[in-house]
Amino acid sequence: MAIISVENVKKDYPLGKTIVQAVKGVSFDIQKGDFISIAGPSGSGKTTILNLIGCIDTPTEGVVKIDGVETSRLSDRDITTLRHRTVGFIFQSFNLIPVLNVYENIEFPLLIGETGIPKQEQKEWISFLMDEVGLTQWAKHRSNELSGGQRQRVAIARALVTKPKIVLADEPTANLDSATGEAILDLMKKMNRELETTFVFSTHDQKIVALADHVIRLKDGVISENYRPQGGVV
Amino acid sequence: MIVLKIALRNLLEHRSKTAIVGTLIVLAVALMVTGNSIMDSIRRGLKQSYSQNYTGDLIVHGLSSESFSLVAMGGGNTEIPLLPSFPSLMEAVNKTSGVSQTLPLVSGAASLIVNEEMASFTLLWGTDFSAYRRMFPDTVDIIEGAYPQDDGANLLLSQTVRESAEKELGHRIALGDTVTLGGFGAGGTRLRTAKIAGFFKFKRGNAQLDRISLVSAGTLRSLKGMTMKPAVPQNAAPGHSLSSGGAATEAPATGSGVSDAALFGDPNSLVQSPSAVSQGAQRINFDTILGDTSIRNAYSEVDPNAWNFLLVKTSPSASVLGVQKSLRAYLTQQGLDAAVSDWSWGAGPVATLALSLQLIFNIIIFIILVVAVIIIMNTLVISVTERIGEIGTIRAIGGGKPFIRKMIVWETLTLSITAGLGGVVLGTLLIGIINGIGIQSSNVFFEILFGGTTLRPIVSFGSVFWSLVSTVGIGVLSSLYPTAVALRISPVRAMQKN
Repeated sequence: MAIISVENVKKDYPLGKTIVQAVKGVSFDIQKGDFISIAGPSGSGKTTILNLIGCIDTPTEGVVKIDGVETSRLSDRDITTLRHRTVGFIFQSFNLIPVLNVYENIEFPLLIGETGIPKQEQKEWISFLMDEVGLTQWAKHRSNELSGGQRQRVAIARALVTKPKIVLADEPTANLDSATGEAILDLMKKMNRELETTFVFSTHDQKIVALADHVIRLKDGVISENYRPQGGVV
Repeated sequence: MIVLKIALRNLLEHRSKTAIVGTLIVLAVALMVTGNSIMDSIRRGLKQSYSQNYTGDLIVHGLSSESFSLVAMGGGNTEIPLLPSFPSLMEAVNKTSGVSQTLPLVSGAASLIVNEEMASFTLLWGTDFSAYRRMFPDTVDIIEGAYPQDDGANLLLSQTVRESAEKELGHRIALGDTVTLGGFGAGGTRLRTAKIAGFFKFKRGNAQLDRISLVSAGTLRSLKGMTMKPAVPQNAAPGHSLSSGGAATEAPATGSGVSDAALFGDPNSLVQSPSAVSQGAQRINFDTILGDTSIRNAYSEVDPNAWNFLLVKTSPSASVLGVQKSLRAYLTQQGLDAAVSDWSWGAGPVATLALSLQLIFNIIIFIILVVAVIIIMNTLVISVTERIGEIGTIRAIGGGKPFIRKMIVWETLTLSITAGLGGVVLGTLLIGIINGIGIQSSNVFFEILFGGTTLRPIVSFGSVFWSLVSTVGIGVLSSLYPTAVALRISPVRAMQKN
């Protein structure tokens, strides 16, 4: 069963007196453990698709299923719980809580809701993630004391702290130089392999797209390509 | 607790905003604590002064459609109702648990006439002097003379009234002088003489109390026409009078309530009995001629059970409210037209003035607090709009609306409570300074309120408590709208590229 299923989804936004069709009826499945890139130029609908998959926005038409659950049928509280337990987010602008230090930022999702992970295990897991992203010695530093690459590493650790099945990354390298961007992608790929977490990231950078094992290419709100570079069923 | 941690750090992070809002709250709360402590000190001072020296803890009094109190302001012409069924009422009050002392009083007003010359005006409390001294042993400062020892028509004249009278007369009024008291009322004008037994001042007097003189109860009753059968009925509808027993009895039908026949016997008796004249021409029996004069006597004989007030002191261990409740229950049970009031009723306009001032002050404070709430709310809304991305991110990564609500409310509450405590400290310091310096009363008005020439306020628990309650109120109220704004922030806003 696909961990993410998007069926004939449309999304319209009002813009003044006109309606902008950001997504014009797209369908695709994403399998568990995939490292998938949603590629396309600016305005092609990449972020909208991520918003819909991440349950932070609702489709105008169509069905989005996360781990078999149809999201449009859920209440606001259930949607929040689903996001908390099933989805991790990595944002282009990092979006760390400025008043919290590195450790607290990574720990934060564990403190805002129930995850079912025992306290001791939580601590060990945070330590493991900090070690994995190479920020152990920066634990007490605030985000404004970190470089862009370091901040994105914190964001990756934060996205993984609740042990989600899916991590969504919206242009995670857009605000980073190319070397740092590649390092971040390598880290994401590593976590994808080690934890078998499904990573879905949007990008318009062809070099990064090449790292994905499943590519969905969008153009003007519709899918122009949906393929696996190494071959296989999509 | 992550919410509190974020709240505290956000407050520290935005120091200038925190300082502006915090200072506003500190000043408002300091003003509340200072102002209310001063008001409470005035009220506490008045209460202590009046209950210990003038009114007792409770006052039993009759009911009237007109406003009256123990310490009257102005001319004192209001007809003050009599206490119904006094002997049994007094006995019941004295038997009430928690009552330690009682003192009945008659209240009135009179002009002071010396050598047929109007000299001054005085308010009068008619009482038994020895009972008054027992009830209020440390109230009166005798300047000349002494408390009267006999039950005669004695007057302890207020020194203030004496001074004004002497100024009017142009000569001294001496101890032992006999003065005439002129009383006015619905029953007409009455003149009674009284001997000056002494001159006094109330130790903690004021402009209002300094007009009061003490007179023997019988003299004041006589002056007010409080006789066995009052010519003008008191506490009753026209045509009826209340005897000391409280039972309404039919009064005579003539204009003033007294018939000529009742007062002077049968007028026809002289005409219809010529034999009586011829037979006893040398020994006329006037008692027979005038008939039965008992009714007339009743109209001139002072009623020893006619009192206007019964002052009650409670024992230190007793609850004043509890005693008041018991006495009210007794009055209700007996169906008596009387009430039990506390010192503030007895103090009359002075207490009302103190309460009114506190009310006005608190209305001003309320307006300041409303302004403070609006300013804080506005600042918080700006703060929320600056943190749209942060709030959107929290929502996106699984923070529910209750978490966002708590975050905003905690931030506001932390600021308002911390600043509120700061305000309490500042207010306490201000009161300490004011206490050290003392507020001097610049006129009679403030002298009455302060209960003396200088007020030295102390911090009251009530002012601190209500100030802190207000700060919590400020916090909660000012967070309502910003919270609503924050809750409307969609998690999509986390995806905004900035």
